[in-house]
Amino acid sequence: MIDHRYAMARKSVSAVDRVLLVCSGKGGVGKSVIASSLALALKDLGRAVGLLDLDVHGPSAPLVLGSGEARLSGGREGLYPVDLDGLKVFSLHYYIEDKPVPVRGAVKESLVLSILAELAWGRLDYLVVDEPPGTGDEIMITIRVLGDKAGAVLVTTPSVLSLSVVRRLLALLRDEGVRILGLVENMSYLVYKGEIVELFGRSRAEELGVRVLGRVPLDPSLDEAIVSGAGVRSAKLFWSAVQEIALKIDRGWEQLKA
Amino acid sequence: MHEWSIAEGVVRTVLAYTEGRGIARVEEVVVSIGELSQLDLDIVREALNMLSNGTLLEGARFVFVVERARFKCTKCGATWGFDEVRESVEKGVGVRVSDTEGGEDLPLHYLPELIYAYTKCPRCGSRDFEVTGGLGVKVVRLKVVKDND
Repeated sequence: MIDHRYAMARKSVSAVDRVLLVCSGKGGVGKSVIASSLALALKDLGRAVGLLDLDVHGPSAPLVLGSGEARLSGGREGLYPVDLDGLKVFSLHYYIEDKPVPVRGAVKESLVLSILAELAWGRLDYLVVDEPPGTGDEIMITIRVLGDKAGAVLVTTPSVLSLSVVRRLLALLRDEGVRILGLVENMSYLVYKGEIVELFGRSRAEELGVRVLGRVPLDPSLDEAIVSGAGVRSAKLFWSAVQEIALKIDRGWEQLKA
Repeated sequence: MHEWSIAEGVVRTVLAYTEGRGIARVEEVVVSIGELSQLDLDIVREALNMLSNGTLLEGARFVFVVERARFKCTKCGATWGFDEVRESVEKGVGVRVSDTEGGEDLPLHYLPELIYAYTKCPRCGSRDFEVTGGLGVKVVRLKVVKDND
C-alpha cells in the first residue's frame, strides 16, 4: 500500500525555498500571533511568503490577520491558499468556521498529510508554519515531509513552566535533525510609564542554550489592533520587536544556529 | 478538478516505486478510492491516462476499488454509512470550495477527514466516532513487466 500524498506534498513545496516552523511547548504563549506577524514582516521585507496554519483544533491565523471571511478555491493543482495582499494563507478556519474538528490519532495524521499534499503554494521564499503546541502528530508529519527545508523558531513566555516544556520540544527537534533558528520570548516585559516591567521576573531564555532571536513585549494595544481590524502592524511596540526578529531570520538563515 | 492533482500524485508515486527495480513497464495499477473524497472516477481515469503518456505507465490499466465510508460510534456502538448522513452533511457544510472551472465542491473533496466537522452519530448525537473505512486514495497493487521478462 503506497500513500500517494507524500509525492503530492513534496511537489506542493518543490518551489518553496525555506520552511519556517513556528513551535511552542505549551499553548497560550502567543505562538499564532507571532507566526502570523512574522509572515507579514517577512513579506514586508519583499519576500514571497506563505502562512500555513496547521492548528487543526484551534486555527486562529485568520483572526490575527483579519481575514476570517476569506474563502478557499481549488483547481487542477489542488487547493489554492487565500491571497491576502500578496501573503498566501491556508487555515482550516476558512473551511469550518467555528465548527469543532475532533479528529485524533491516525485520522488527525491523515488530515495533516492531506493538507500538506493538497495545497498549491507555487514559488515562495518562505513558508511559515504555525504548528500547534506540543510534540504531537502535526509537528512529526511536518518534519517528515518538510524537514529538509525547515528551520524552527521556538516561542515561549518567560514563565518557568513554558520554558521547561520548550526543553522537550527542543530535544525532539534536535533528535529529528531540524535546524534550530532560535527562541522568541513573547510577553517578555511590559512598558509602564516608560519603565520596563518584567512580569515573570528575570528572563531565563538564555538558560536554554539557544540563541534568543528577540524579546517581544506584552503590548496592551495588540488585542485592540486585531479586533478593530487595524492589524498587528499598528501595535507599535509589538510590531517593532517582530520586525527585528524577521530581519534576523532573513539575514541570517544560513548562519543562524543555536 | 482536484482529480488531476490526485492522479499526478498516483503517477509520481508509482514511478518512484519503479526506480531501480528493473521494471520495464507497468501493466496494471489498482487504486483504492475512499468514498468520502467524492471523486469523479471518469476524470481521475482521464487524468491518469494523460499523465502516464511517455512514462513506464503508458498504456497501463487503471482499476478503481471504491471503499465505502463506514463509521462507528465510540459512545453508543452504532454503525452507519455515508448515505445515511449525506443529506445532513450537505446541509451542515456552510462553506463550499469554488472551482476554477466554475463549479463548487464540498470541502470533503479535498480533505475527507473534515467529515468530523460535519457529522455526528445519527443515533446518540455524539461526535466521538471512528471512521472505519472510506478515507483517502491509495495505490494497493501493481502488475509490472520486468526488464528481463
